[in-house]
Amino acid sequence: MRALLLALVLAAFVAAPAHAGILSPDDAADLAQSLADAQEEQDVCYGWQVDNNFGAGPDIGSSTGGPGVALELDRPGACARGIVVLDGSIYYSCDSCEDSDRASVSIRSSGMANPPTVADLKGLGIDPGGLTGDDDDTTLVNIVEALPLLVADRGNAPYVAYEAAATVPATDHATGKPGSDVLRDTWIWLVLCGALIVLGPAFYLYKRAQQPHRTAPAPTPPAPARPSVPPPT
Amino acid sequence: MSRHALIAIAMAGAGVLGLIFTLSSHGSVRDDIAKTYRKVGTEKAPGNPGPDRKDTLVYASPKSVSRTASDIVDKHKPGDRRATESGVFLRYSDDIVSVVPPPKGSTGSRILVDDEEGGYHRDFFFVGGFWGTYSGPAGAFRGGGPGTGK
Repeated sequence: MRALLLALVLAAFVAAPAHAGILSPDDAADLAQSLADAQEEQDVCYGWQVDNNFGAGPDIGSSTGGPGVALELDRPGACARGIVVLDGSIYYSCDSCEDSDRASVSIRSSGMANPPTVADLKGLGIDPGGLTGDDDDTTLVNIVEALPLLVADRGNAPYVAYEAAATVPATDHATGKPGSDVLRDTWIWLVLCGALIVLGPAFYLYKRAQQPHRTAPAPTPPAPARPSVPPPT
Repeated sequence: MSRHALIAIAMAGAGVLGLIFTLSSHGSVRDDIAKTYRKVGTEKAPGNPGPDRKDTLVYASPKSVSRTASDIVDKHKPGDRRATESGVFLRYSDDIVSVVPPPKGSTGSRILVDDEEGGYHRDFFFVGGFWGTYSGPAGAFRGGGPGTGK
């Protein structure tokens, strides 16, 4: 029985799809599907290729070939309004090395008059440096999914239509409420003002401690007794 | 009163005044959008009805989706955000702001201001699993992959 269980676990491990890069196979498939939907509405083809140095293989996918397949450029008509590919690299330094982890991205395009740029991504608040963070997969998806939006923003193609969800499972709800908006927007000013309130009295106490202590005036010594002078005779 | 005491009182006073000004002058993202953009409609909030629910407010912006989102973020930093092919979604402590493409034939962008429940329901295709639970059919990225840090 134990041998059978071990064999099953081993078989499941071996049968699991190889995990390349930072996206799970499911997430890569979902991302490719999103791009395929965008391609259908925009006639723009999309792809991504992010290399890394941690030996897990690059993250690759496209709207034309799906996950794991680079953009296929031999499909006449499919990319009538051009192609846009996200290229990136992730570099993790070794634990004993002095240099730090880093990531960079660039956007390659063709057949497009006004292609999106990396600056556009940063304008959306997407920091490619997040590719070396804990949410590296979310960062990559945010970057790639934003490409069709930026292509439309720059007038190269129509927007991908927004569809509100018609039904949502009753059990699903928002979690992890963000902290106070006021604190997020003004924390630097609150810290500065708080520092002034604390530093004012601290400054006064410091200066007072620096002043020399006042001592009572020493008692004047008694005047020496005048020597008695014999009256003149 | 000594000169040092006067300086200390001035510093603490400036701190108190700054604190009062900072807290009293900070408006919500909801108020700021209402002041800045043209309101074009109100919709019933998606999700379960309740006495605390707020209707969805719809505004129009003459600027593109990403430019409008950037303008809003410059004034009110969101707690979380999602950029997708169909819009930019900003999450605040009580509100979710969706900046999405305008209706066909229009230019600029559309801004939808929802309470948390309404925004999560409306944008479920895009934020489901990112900002809350997700038990729907596969079809959207869920995040939370294994990652590979050092």
